[in-house]
Amino acid sequence: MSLKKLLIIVFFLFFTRIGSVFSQCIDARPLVELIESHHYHPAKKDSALSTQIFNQFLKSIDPNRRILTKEDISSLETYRTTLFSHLKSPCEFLKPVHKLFLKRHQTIVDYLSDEKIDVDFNNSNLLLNTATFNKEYPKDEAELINKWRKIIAYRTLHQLASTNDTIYSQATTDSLFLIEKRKTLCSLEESFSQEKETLKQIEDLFFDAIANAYDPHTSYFTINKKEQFTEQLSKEATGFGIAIGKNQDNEFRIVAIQPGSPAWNTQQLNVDDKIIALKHAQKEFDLNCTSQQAIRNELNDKAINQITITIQKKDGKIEDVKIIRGKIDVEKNAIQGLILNDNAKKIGYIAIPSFYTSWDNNVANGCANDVAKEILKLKMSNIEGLIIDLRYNAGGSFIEAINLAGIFIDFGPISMTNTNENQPDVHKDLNRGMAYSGPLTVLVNGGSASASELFAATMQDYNRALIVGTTTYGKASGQSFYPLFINQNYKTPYASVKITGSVLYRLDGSSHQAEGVTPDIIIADGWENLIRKESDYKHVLPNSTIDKKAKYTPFEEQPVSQLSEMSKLRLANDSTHNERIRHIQSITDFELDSIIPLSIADFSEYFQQQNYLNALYTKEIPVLKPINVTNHSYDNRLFSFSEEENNANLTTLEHIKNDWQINEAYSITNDFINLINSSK
Amino acid sequence: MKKVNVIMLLIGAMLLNTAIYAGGNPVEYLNQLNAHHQEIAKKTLSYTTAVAKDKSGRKIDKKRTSLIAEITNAIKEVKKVKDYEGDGSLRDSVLNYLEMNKSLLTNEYAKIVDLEAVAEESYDMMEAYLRVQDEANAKMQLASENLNDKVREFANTYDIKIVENEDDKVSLKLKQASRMWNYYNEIYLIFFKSFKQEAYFLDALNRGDVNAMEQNNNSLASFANEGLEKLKKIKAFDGDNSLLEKCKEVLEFYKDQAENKYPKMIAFNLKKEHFENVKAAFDKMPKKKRTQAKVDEYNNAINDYNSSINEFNSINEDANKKRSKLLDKWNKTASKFTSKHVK
Repeated sequence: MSLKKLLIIVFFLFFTRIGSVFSQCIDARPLVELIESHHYHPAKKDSALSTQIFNQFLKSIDPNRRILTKEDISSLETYRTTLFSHLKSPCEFLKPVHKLFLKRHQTIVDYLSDEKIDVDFNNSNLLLNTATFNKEYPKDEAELINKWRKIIAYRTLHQLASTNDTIYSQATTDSLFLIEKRKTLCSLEESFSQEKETLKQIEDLFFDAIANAYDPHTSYFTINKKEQFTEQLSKEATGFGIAIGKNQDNEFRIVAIQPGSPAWNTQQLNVDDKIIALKHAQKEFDLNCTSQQAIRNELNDKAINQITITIQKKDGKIEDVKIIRGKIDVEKNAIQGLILNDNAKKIGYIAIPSFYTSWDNNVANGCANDVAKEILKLKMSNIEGLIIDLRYNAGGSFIEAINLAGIFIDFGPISMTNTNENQPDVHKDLNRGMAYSGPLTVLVNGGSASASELFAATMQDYNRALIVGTTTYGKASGQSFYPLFINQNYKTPYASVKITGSVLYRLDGSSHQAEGVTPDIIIADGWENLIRKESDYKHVLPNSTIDKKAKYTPFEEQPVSQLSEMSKLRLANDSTHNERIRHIQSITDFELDSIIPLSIADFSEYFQQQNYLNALYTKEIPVLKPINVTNHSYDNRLFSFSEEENNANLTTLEHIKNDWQINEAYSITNDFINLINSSK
Repeated sequence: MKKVNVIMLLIGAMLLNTAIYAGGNPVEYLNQLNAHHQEIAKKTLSYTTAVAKDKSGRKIDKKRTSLIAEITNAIKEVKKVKDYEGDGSLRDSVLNYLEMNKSLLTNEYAKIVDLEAVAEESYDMMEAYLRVQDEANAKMQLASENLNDKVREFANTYDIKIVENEDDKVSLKLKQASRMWNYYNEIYLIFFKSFKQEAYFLDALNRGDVNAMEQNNNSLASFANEGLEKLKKIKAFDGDNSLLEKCKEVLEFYKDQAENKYPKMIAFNLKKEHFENVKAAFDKMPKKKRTQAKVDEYNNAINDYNSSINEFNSINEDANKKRSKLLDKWNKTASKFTSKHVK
């Protein structure tokens, strides 16, 4: 055949091959096989699992049920229990979904782009029922449009109420309405183009839904998504040290915090904190209408020296945190030891926000080694006891948790892990001896998960530390990343799958999975009831036990009941603590009206209720008699010679001084030391 | 390791070296089982003497090989021995015992001890080593007692009188050697525990792993103290307390290092890092902002660091000198001791 014809055929084949990767859905069976071969307890591929995937998938493409209609869902019913027969060509399911999605998306875009003002704010009897608004699909297209009408109306009224103008004209409400339409449109388009526009993106969401159906920590990552995580934590000389992304509800959140960075050093931020507001001297970001990339670019701009980020923690607490641009030095010790002192005893305090390990995986440089160094410096200041704070620490490196436990025990087993091969492994302390042998208190709460729980459980089982706080999160599983190949012909992986392959067990064979670690001494104020834990999620790994027990020699039992009683008595007599409990009770008791009236006359009352509730969330009850907090003489921050860093240090000290749980942990440790001394 | 093995051999070798009075088939049976015992006893003595007198590795190995060959032959012969009146348990005990001996000599510890269990339950290589020695020793003891019981049982059943031949020179020498090795072993293991622990500390020091340094040094202090306590309860051996005293000297060195010297070396690592941070920050500071107070802070950090370096270096040099001298003396004392008490 002639050269020309040959070239055309080659050309055609080339495009067909690319086409076969990008325009048709790929076989989902390798993904399922990969998960089944590594998952700790893979569910059976039956109609129940199919239903879970179906629901999870719909939730991810339309989390607030405001894009698809009831009619659309009905048309997809045949797939609910039969997804496993479509694994080979998921397009059979995904193409119809995508088509419906694009159609409805366009309907909404058309409505939002239309400059018509179809709400009469003075006479409106539109109502928004928050109990059902995000939980029910609109019946049909007309109801879909009405839903968006209400959303825009609500946002307009909210905006109106936020300005303090008492006089507003028709023109004001009209222009606000159109502004809200535009803002909502841009936010919708932003989320759409990032994640849901193409068939491939829908397929990615579907694959993630398959992964999540096995358990909440198993997920599917496209190669891009995985790189985004690490890319943001810049290796630049200066920055803020946070990476920003979005959670499943399309809200901004902190995805990662670089150890040793200014963000890290505030000791107020944790991964998964929701970002409610973000601003710097020149502007406030409109989080609705800004893309993640735009925010990242702005944060990398060296001219911006300081940002204020408003975060909401897992239990609902809202805080404003100031971050000053500074050096991000990965070599520098990211752990800061402090000294608590009420003129009686010096007790060391070390907060560990996450179990980080160093970038080049040199174990000697991970967080356990950094903590050991700080402990040695604190010992030089003659501390009589030590508090390790793991509140909100969601975990991290398993090895670092083992090494951290090793600091406080002489030698022996620390934890056991098991995989689906059912040959449990015992993990031991790598160094014989203790780097610190004195009284130890570990502070935990419902945000302490995974590696934090491993550490607390081991300290509890050895009678080595007093565990103080509230019951922990309940994640006792370990995840690893596995590459996914479409088939044997492809040498580079198509994606990355994080799979829950192992479960942690305590030394007696029991596990804290879905239950958490119960503190020896519970100190609570009611916030702990507001936090969402592992057992609140769907499809979690159930709690289990293994027969194997590790042999170890615990320390002498600690006087837990006595110390617990002393703490209870002290808190019962503390007027500010009682006030704190009442305050949090008032938040839980507060019932915001579920029916929001969308008219000018009636909305302001609702708005005031909302403000009242927000104020409750941000209010802090001060501590009665705060302890003194100082740096030790080898604290790196003291010698920074920089005004800003010194001020940041002072802010940290102030923050710790006024933390009631740290104060109470100090008192408990003090009681403990006294009991030990009196028994000698 | 060789030195320790020998003890276990000696437990058994003595047992087989008995004279038997009485006639009849049961005696012949016993003799069959006992076929090689004289040779084994002689070769065991030759081997253990070579080890005690620190002969060349080649010589020791030659003797070991010869002993293994003797035992292998014995095993072959014993396997051929039939049951006595339907009961093969005595022969099996002898066989079991000979096999264990052979395993020890060929270093196949796995055949005697459940190494996997030891590995899992032991904290580290050092503990594993000590445990294997202990367990192998205990198993050998058990095997020889078993054999002893079986022989007595057999003797009772067939009315054989068993008398120990006290004039046998080989037997006496083996007894003496056994006593010596037991004594030596006890002190050696006390020495070894602290010796190995110091090695772990020095390794951490070289790697700059501050956490490991602190943990291992604290352990060194407790092992040295624990060892010194144990030594207090041990007496001289036949009037010779040279080994005891030398071990004490070594442990006191380790105790002093761990409690007084090494903590300063660990602190140095922290001071070094601190100084580097201070210097970097100071250098970054614009000259205008360098107040007298800041300059003083900077100078203090330098002085602190410098005196720390000097201290580190002198402790290091001193430790290396002392250690090398002491270990040399220890090795010489150990050689002299074993050589002296094995005739």
